Amino acid sequence: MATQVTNYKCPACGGPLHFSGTTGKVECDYCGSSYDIAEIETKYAEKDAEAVKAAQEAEIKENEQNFDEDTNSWGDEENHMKMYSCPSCGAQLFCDETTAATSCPYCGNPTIIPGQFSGTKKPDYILPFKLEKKQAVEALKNHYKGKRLLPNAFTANNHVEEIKGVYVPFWLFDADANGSVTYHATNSTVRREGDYKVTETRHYNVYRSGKMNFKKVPVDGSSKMPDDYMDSIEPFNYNELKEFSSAYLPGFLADKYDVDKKEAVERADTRCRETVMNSIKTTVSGYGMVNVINRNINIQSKEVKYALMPVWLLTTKWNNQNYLFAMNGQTGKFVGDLPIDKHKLNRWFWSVAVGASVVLSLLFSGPLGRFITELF
Amino acid sequence: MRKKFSAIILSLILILSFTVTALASDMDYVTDEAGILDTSERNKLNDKAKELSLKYNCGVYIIVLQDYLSYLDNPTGAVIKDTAEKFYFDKPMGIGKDQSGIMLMLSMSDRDYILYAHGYGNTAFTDYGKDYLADMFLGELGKDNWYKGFDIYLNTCNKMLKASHMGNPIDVNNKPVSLYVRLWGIAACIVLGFIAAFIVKSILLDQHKSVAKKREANQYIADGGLELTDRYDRFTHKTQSRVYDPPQKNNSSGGSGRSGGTTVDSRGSSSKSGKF
Repeated sequence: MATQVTNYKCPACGGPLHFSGTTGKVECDYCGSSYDIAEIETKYAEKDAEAVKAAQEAEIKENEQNFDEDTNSWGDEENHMKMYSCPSCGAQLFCDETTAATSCPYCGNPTIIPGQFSGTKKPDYILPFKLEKKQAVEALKNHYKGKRLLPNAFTANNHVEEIKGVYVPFWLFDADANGSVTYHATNSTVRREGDYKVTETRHYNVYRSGKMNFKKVPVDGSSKMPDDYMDSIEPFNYNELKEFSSAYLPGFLADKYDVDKKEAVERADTRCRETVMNSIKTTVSGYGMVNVINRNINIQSKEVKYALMPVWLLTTKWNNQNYLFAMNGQTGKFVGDLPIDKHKLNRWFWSVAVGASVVLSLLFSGPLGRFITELF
Repeated sequence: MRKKFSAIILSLILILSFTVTALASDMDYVTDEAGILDTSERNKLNDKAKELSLKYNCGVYIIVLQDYLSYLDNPTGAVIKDTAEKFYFDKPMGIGKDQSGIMLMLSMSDRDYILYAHGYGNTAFTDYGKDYLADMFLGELGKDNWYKGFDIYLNTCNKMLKASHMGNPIDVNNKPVSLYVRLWGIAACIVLGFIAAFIVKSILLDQHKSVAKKREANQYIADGGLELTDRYDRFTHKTQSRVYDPPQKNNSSGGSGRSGGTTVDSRGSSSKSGKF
């Protein structure tokens, strides 16, 4: 029976395959054989097509059937979960409806759900992982360095709870922007006329209009990914974008989008608008004070592309709190908020407060103090 | 013969120096001919003045007269300085060959006072210094608080002689810092210390935060950047505000003006007089 999922297995030994960012090839975990992307694409093209067809049939069947008592009821979550059968071991796989790549928890084989990336849902691009899992763990250790308020126990007892490489769905927006801004600007001079201090202010009406273009402004298309984390690991180097192929997915997780481009475009527009305003503002100079009195910024969306971007996600647990870290799977940029030891913070605060007060008092009682009292 | 003669001369010099020192030790530093102090007050002030004088090798004196004119042979047109000069050089007052000293003389009939300095007293009590010294005790003397006023005078002389001994006599470029200013200064240092602590705390906390939403798309600007299509800067009007702000008066005093120092007369003395 055709299944909706495909296991990417080594043609030589049947072991699980994974994409290696270092070599740019798909490698076997067991025998070490490596294959070009094109080779794997060709080998699994037919299986993927069968899986897509099976998925479409399953969808039709689902719409016609009611759930019977044997299926697990997930309550409200029922509508967001899908069930697949692993073609290697036959295990039932329960995944989020957006999951496009995962691994079977029973046999460990990388599992691709080609139906998630077929037809209109097919991404335009994929940015392959360049950095390996061990580099992500190393980056986490470097992230701790120099953080004076980090609790000692955090680094001593720290272990990575979970580390996963995820291809995150992104919308890449091209846009043309044009805008005009009117400012009220002033320049002041002060002079003395006898016993009076006279301040003269010259007022100006300043107008600027201009246009600029934007290329591939990213907005993440997954509601599960925190937007601030995805923003923080920017930028990605788009020169390494590849045409989408599911051969890059083995060994990683991937989700299809659940935030469509119409929802995402507002975020891109906001960022573009802010950039246009700031760029226009830099052309206004030579004034003491500048205030905006009118603005009109138009953003026209042009091409929109759908791309999968590589992100390493790490979670640690400390003091019953989960800490999430994210690393750009291409550039290695690492982000994540760290816990703070309140005792260390207080020690720093009071040491600086007392130390600085004492030093300043000693200086004040010496030549500096005389200088200051002379001034006043 | 020559040896005998040298020995006699040396003995005479030694006797004289001891005599001067003895005179300095035994003389009254506080003279109250107007009877405004009781015996106990006068003794306390005298002991204090003597201690200061011997400590700094500079006589510190208080002379209270009923009427300064009665001490002069020719009082017509005379001022209190004439009596102060007569007292200082006739007694004589001062310590050492320079006759170093500072004298406060009061004349009760017209409420005149004078601060009279000579020798090292001119160094320790500059023109600005005498103004400062007078400001310290005049308030109490003006309220007839004689003992308190004189005590303040002696305490301030101590402070000024100490500063002069350290090489920094009180003057326009070395003004004393009042307790009020000191307290405000310490409070300001504490506040600045806390501000520094808050800044350091913010920097350390910032290091722990690396996640934030982006507000702009600067990294995605296509080649060429902003192309301005129109611009103008038009002057519209002018406004003016006038605030009454007279220039501050110059605080420097007496003959020394802003440059400091001590103005001395032909006898090598300096003085400051007024009413109390």
